[in-house]
Amino acid sequence: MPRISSTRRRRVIGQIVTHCILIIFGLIFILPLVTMVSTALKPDVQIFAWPPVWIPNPRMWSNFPRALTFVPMILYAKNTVVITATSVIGVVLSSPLVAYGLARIDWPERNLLFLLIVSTMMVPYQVTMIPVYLLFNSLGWINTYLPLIVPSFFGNAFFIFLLRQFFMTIPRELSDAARIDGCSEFGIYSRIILPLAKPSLAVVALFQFIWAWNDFLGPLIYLKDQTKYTISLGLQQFQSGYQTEWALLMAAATMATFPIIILFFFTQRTFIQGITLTGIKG
Amino acid sequence: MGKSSPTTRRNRRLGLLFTAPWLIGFAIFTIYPFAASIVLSFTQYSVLSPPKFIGWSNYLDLFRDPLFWTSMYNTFYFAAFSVPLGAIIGVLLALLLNQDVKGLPVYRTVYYLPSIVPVVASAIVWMWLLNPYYGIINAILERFGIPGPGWIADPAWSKPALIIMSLWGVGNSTLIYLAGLQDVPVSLYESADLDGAQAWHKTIYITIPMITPTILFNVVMGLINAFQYFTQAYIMTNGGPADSTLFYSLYLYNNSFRYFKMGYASAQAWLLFIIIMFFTLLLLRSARHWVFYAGED
Amino acid sequence: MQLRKRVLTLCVLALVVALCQGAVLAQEPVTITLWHGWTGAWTQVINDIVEMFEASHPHIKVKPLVVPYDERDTKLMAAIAAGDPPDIIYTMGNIVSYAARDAIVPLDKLMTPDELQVYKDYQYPLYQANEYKGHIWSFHGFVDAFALYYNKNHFREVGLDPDAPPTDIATLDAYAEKLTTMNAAGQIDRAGFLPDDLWHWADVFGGSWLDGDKITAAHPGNIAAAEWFASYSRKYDVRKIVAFDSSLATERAQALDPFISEKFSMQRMGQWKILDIDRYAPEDFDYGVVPLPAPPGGRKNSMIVPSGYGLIPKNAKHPEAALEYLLYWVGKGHEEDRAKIFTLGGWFPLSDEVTKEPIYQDYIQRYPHFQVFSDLLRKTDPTGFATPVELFYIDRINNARDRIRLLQGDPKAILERVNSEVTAELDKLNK
Repeated sequence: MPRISSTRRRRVIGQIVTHCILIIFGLIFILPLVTMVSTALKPDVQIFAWPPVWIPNPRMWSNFPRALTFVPMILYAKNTVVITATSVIGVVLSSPLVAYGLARIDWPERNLLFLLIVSTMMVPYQVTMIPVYLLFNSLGWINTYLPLIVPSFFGNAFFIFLLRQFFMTIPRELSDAARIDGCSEFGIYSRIILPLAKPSLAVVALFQFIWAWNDFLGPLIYLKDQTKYTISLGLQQFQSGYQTEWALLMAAATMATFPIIILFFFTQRTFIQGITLTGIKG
Repeated sequence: MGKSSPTTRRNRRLGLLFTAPWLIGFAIFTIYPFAASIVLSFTQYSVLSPPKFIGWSNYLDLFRDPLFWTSMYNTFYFAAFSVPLGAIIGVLLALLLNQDVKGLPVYRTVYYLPSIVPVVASAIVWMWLLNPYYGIINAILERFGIPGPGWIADPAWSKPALIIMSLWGVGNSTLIYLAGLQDVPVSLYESADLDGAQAWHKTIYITIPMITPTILFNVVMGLINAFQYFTQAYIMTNGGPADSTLFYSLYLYNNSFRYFKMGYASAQAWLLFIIIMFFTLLLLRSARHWVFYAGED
Repeated sequence: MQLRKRVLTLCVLALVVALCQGAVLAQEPVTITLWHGWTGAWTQVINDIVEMFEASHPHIKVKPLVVPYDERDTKLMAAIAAGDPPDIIYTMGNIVSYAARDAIVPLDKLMTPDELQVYKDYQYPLYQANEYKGHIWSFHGFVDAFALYYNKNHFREVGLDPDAPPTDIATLDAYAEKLTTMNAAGQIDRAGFLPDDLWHWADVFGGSWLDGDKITAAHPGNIAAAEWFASYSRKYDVRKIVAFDSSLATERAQALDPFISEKFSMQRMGQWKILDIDRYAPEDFDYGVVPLPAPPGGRKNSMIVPSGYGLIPKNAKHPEAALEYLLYWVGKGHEEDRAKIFTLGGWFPLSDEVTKEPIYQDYIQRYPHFQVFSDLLRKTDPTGFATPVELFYIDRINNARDRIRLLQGDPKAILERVNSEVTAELDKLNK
């Protein structure tokens, strides 16, 4: 009896400590979001106020619809959804295939290929940007979404590396057993490995979503029609060389960020299944 | 079983089949730009007019360029601190967020927020926190009798300020660790419990070894990114004060798009490539000794 | 008789056909692409100008594209490399970089003598900043000018006459000392004044960064300005200034203005701040604007002007049409419309013709401080900054300014190092 209660006590103390740490640092981590919303609601006079006004009075809720018309944000959002959704699909289809080839098939040159793939991330983009632009120009893809979407269907080095690491943690016995049963390599891939890799695939999808959603340089360089612009370019339009429409910018940025926050919050379960669910292996 | 045994040949074919998407993409989208930038590194190229071949001049000039050395130093400094710190904090945070604690989804979302919000919002917050007059960090230091440094405007403290700010983005690596933690078999914990293991025992001897594959990923990517660190410095300090935050990639960017020296910048890029490759190979080599893949023998 | 009639008919027919062809050709509209960085509410201003232009130039259509400020050059360079640049782009102050690398069209070659005269008349006295190696490369749509803003309330607070702002450096320094306050922790709470931009102040001190093509970073006037920068650091303790700067980083991250939040009593600022103050400052904010004080032997009414805005890339498809648009901006023949533009934002007209338009004069009544800048424009003898390595030079000057303020060395030696760095760059370019 005493043993149980001391374990219990330790557990409760552990919980309290954990909560404390998480809350203290969490306050710092949530600060940017709070700042954004607070600034978005401020009338001009309070933006420069010192000490900073946390809860503005009056609250300019009108800044939110105003931000949507100051710059055609809804149009930009539609464009961004198209680009983001397609590139997420592309990445999720292609990257696991390549990672599988590097992680679950034993062939002599695979480590060399792995190194080659990783090495493509070691060259700063600034010096390849112009040749890449010329390449897409010769394909006639300038002023379309193709440069932003098509490459994602051919694997992405970052995700390939990530998935390779995950695939390599799955016990060999599973693949071997399936091979003995006569399963094709692709069958093993789609029926055994992919389901087990759901958490990492969800991470890949989320990362690509965030990255494509916020991508600024790609759309800037390739698009020549304002009607094709994306959210990131739209946000930039709240700033000019001389001044920034802070309240409107923060309102727009808040609206642009919320889809991701919601997405993350509700899909957490997919990549963080909870300790109890992974009893399958071993 | 020589190199060309039937099994090996079959496996090689399958391997190439599965990796074909990347190989094709590489051939179409990557080879030309990479080859072009290597060639350009041997030219004087303003982008506005055709390149002019100048042999090894760019590389020789780089070694004679004080800004090259300054930016290299700044980048090494940054990487030396941000990579280990990021790795440690990422793992700690993941362990913390993997506890059986109520409200976990909310916490996880909160800690991931900095990776999602625009850099602008983060910059503002950090400038508050690091403010020498009323920022929390200096206030805490003062409590311990340490005079708070000038941080962002002080050339001796601008890099530490940026390093601290970079830890903000730990959410990404934490997420990857969390996903990796799900692959740790429960049975291992159960048998450890039966043996009467403490919580921290389980952490050190089960949890951490099982996530070494993801640790390797985050450290390698952390290194690759640290050496190309650019965005925050570009937005917040623009290399100042007194070139103390002139990082290698920022100097490279300036050469490419401000000074119209794309050839010079290309030489910079490929030198950086060699350096990153060197350290990455070191890491990957060392992996043999500390990374445990459950799927390999 | 029959023959003559037939020949006449043929001639008439031929004439009609020729006229029709000519009419068709004249009617075929040309579309020019225009890249600019006027974001937000400004985009509508540009669209309005485009409408006005298209109305008076039916054979030219303009397709404007807003390109965010920061990366405009990157996008331009990519387009030039691909051989598909816009017809017009408005960049900011680095025309010479493009001119020296043969990437843009020399506009004087496209203009008739009359057009050239209009250009000079309406852009006087700044058009010289657009000249390099004997050609004209850009138009000045607007110009930025800097003057000394001072907070009248602060003046009253310390017993200074709010209508007698400093007119020379010695007075400026003395006032700054009076206006500076410290907080309880001994840190600078409010700075009376702190010198910020060495590039400009060197001009005020009679210095010069260029002598024709030659780099003259270590000109005695520049060194004098640098010494003056260093004197502030010595007077107020470098560490305190660094801490103060850091504390301002918070505000700058939000593009807030330390002058508006009353952290400075006097500061060198641009003319567009007038609108910022009007919009964001509290009701009782009371300020004045005066030309930058100069030391004896320095330049009063100093104005250092980087090159202008509108340029035409070399392989643009319709350079003549582009030039027509650029000339339209100048305002001749439609001064009233042009004046209207200036009532919409923080710029002020260059030419007298536009300035005296009633609509702009009304505007000046509302914002009297713009008058100071207008006068400055008419009194100044502007300094240019035309060198192919302009951006590298500016970066090195800013680095030197940092080091001088941090008392990291002798100002003369620091500037001499800038001189050799930038001269070496220039030599590499000309090799």
